[in-house]
Amino acid sequence: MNINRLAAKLGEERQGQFMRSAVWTEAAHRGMTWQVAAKDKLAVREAATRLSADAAAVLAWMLRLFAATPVEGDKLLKEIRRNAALSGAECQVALAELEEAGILFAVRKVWGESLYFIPPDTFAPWQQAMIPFRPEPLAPREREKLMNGEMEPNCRPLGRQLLSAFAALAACGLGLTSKGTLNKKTISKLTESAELDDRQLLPFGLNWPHREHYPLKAAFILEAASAEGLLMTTADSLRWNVPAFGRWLELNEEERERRLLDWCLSMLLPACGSGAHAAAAIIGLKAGEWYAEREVSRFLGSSGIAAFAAEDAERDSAGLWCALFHALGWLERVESRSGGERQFFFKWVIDTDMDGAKSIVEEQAAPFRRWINVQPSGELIAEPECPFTARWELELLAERVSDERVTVYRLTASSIARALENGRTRQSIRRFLHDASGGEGIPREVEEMVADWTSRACRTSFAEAVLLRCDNEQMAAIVESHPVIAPLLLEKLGPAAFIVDPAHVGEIRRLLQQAGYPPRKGMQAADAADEARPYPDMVMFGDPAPGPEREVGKCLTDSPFAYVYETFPLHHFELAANAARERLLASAANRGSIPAMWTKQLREYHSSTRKELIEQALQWQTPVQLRMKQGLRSFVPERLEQKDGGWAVIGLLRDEPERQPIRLTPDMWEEMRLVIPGRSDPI
Amino acid sequence: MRDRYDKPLIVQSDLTVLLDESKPDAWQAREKLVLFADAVRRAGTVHTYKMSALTLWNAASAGICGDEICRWLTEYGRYELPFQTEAAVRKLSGRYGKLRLTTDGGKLLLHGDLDVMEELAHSASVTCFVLAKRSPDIWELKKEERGSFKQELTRLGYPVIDLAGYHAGEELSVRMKPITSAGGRPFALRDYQRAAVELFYKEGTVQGGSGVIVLPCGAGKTVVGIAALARNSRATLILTSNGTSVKQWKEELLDKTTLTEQEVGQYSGTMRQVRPVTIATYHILTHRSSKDAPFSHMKLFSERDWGLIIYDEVHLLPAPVFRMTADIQATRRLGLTATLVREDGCAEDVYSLIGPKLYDMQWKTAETEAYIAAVSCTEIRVPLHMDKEEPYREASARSKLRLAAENPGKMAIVRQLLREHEGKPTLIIGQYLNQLHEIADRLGAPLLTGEMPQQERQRLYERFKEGAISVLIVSKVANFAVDLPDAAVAIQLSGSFGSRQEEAQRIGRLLRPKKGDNSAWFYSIVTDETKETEFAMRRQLFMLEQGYRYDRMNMPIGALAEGDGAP
Repeated sequence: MNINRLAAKLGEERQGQFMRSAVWTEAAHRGMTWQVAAKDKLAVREAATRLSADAAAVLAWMLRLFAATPVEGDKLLKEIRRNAALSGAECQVALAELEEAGILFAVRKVWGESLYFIPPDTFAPWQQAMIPFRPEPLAPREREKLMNGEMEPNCRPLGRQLLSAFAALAACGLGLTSKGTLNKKTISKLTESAELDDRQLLPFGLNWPHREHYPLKAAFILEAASAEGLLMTTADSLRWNVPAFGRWLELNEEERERRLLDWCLSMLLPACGSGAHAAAAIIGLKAGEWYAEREVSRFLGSSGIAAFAAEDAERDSAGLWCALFHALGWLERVESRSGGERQFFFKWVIDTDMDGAKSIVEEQAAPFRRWINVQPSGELIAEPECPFTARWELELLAERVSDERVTVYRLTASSIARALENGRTRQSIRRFLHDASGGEGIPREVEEMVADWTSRACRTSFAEAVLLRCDNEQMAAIVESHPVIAPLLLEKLGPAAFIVDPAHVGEIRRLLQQAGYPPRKGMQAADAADEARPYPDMVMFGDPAPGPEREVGKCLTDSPFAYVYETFPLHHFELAANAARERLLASAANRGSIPAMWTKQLREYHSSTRKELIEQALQWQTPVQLRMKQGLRSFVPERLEQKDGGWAVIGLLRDEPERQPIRLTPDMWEEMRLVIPGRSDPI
Repeated sequence: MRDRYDKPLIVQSDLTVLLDESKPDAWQAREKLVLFADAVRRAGTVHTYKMSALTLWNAASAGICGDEICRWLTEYGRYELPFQTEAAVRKLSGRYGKLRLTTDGGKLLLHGDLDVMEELAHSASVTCFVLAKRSPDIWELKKEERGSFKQELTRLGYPVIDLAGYHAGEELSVRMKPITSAGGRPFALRDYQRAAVELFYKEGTVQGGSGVIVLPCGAGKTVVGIAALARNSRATLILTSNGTSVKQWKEELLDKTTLTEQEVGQYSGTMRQVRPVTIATYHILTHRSSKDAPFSHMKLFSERDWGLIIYDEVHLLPAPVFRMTADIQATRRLGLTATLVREDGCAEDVYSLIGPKLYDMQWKTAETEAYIAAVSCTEIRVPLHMDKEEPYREASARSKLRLAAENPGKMAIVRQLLREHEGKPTLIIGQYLNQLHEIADRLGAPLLTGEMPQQERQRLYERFKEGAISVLIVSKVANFAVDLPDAAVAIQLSGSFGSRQEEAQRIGRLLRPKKGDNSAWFYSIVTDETKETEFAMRRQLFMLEQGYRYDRMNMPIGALAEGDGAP
């Protein structure tokens, strides 16, 4: 469950409480809301310095042991106690601190078990803050390795790949088969239009419905649309959520990629177990610098993370993530071979920091200028900054020839016919080309091309009443004068329409085609509203007032994970507010009374009292302080041993370098006291 | 990023470079760009250039290194130079000059940088040419396989500088004449022609002697070839694309050099003259009696001790001639062409067997400098003749095109254009013989088709050249190197759909510089509202990409004079 979905469940009051936690002091000071601060690298880095030592230890161990995978409360406590040498009560207090700051969350399963999780979109910033990875970028003198290496082919950023896929989907039609899936041809067009490959996605352990129909790539693309709220499902077809789609197209490219990266991580991190660590390490690196993949693997080993990922030991998680990020157009990757040694290097080409995206948004607000260059040959060259609203239209009007930094499209007779089929007209096409090219005149040759191509295709259309409509009287005259068509026209309606026998529709279509006037395909529907159109018009150049209301549709939009199963569907469970604090309060209530001195002062006690104190510590899962020969020591008791009339306690001496359980008999310390976590009693 | 918005180049990672001509530094950027990239499309304000191994090696052979190219791309680039491009440019350019062929006591030697030689040592397709390794960086090669070895290295992506030299060939006394024989006009090479010849000849050293010169149609490629021949003064074999061209080479040689009739032989059609300068067609060289028989005329390569072979229209060079050329690498070789773009992907063979590009002049540059005529192109749309409307509607797709192409309504336009350009040498070009015969009858103008015997054709050319006839109607024979002199007007009645270059070739016939205002006119007459418009658009694409613009005129039905359009 990511931050946005949590925010929708939590309410503003609760989010406000998070921000009042001391942890977020700096972020609150800068006016950040929890929703923003929770994912912001800097805010998280600052927050990490303000965590109590126990909370920091608990969080670091949770990240290290379970990555972004949700974990049952008991298991979490057990593993952290074992590794962090904290007592149970200390863990509970630390968990409560993390919950109260909106860093960790728990859901309540049946039978009262709880599942703890870190929102997947905050996993990377927290890992980067708690287990920092700061490798040196490749030195300039080492760039020779890159120059001599093999660069992996360029992939377009995911947003552009999705745009092409959505355009292909729209052009094919959004109808669903009786099984509720898109038809084969549409799926194939959809997948062809994006470079991403199943091979890069499969290692991440995703699961998805309709596997027999949808390859993972298709499910991934549809899931992206669904997660962004762009598609809705009706009984027999998908439909665009036009306002949401419009807003998505209007996003600045950097921002869109950043959102897609977040979405991708939210879906994949919980699914891939300890593989998530590599992703978090990689995305924390600086854009524009080259790094060696093996540095990431080294880091995973040296930071102790790899040791807890035995089941994944064979997997090169850094390589898998780099290959995926490369396929999504977010990083460049070079394979270098020298002396039989094979090495990969990578460089981020998008800025994974939100701050970067913001500065570019501001830049994008620059005055309107030429987005495309219309060539007399019919080529349309789209500038890198060309907004997606214009690209969406270009995908319809023209064939994409190449798409890199600039995108080259070419107007063709069939692309213009496709545009007419989707409700565009000669005038609207001309207006678009004119506006998108910054008001520069369209070359005469292109005007003429468009005029020619629009003058033939789709000049006629069939209506529900089975009416043969012509676009003007001249066309009607051509139809009327056709020796074979004329007898099939039952009645003329107005200057340019005829009623025809439904049985003759096919025949008339054929004859018109033969005569060189191919009619518009299919039957024109009575309601041609934007939402119903497979290829809605999104262009609003120079139109200051937003046309369609571009608010995200709420009730109709597909919910996320409609096309790819969520690995841990936590939203099915009840979100537990402050689960750890509740447990603490419950155990405090059960504590009953003990002598105040047991916690307040270090004292020598009789062996039997010493045993009582230890029993109490075991019951409350608290540590004890012991004055031993070596000085004041912190001890976490684990169990009591009764032997030969005597007793001993097994537990961890926290400051021992070897974290092995140790056996203490009561004569081994001089003074002692109980330590209640969360209470600031003097020693 | 924004402060670079005015920079003219956009560099893509697939080695494509877009030049935005509307930006302030575009001119300077273009001057650099043409040194290491080929222009692919020049329509509108954004022109497309493409770098490749060959363009980069051609640049390297002219002394331009990868660092310099990357610096220019960065300096004029609107965005950061893609790493992929930088790496590819440095890698490809860096390979140039690392391998050299020399001779030592009659042995052919390969010298190379150790790292490259190590890489090559692993390649069986290279080591099979090696006779002995004198040292890790000097290998002795099979001398007779010099060409094949170069081809293989180019294929593997390693250019080799061939300094193994040439044998001189049979001496020939020949000079350029300051006054032409035929017209008695003063004659001198233009500066760019002289520069091109010098780049080829390089004072007769091993650094010169092989390569390709690229000049637009009409800019005097033949003259460059003749000047190179004169500069070398050795027996020369000239290979060209057809019989007409053979004759024209001969005329030019006799007109502009001291060579005599007895010294210039023609080797084509029925002629088999092997003389100190011999002109042959590719066609005859690749002739054989059956599919498996040997090429009976390929022996021409060894019939004399040629000191130079000139490959005219080198972009048309057929594969068997490449194979033969591989065996004669010790002979100087000059390629001449208007375009290095080959549809068959044999550009690498041109590079390895003929040599690198030595000189290149863009069409539009030549036009600006008035080295070629300025051609204005116009498409004229005419309505389908009313008698053809019904048959057109009912015809199959194929017949529809023919009906539109043969639209009798075009006749009136032809007459009108002839009136407008009266007295100017005019070609009327068409695809369908019936239509051409009919127009020839109506205009009383001669018709030249493929069926016409060569002698008859030649006679017609002569009369056209002399001005005795000002209108010549030609079938598609005009597509192929029929260098009709001084046609100033071309009227295209119909053309084919498939050939991208057909229109370019037809316009090419008009490009020779003209007296007076140096202008020429190309008209394409197309039947409106028919499939022909689509065909016409496709044919125009190549010229549009070369930077030419088409005007369009629509002829309303009423504009057709009575009687002109009757079928």
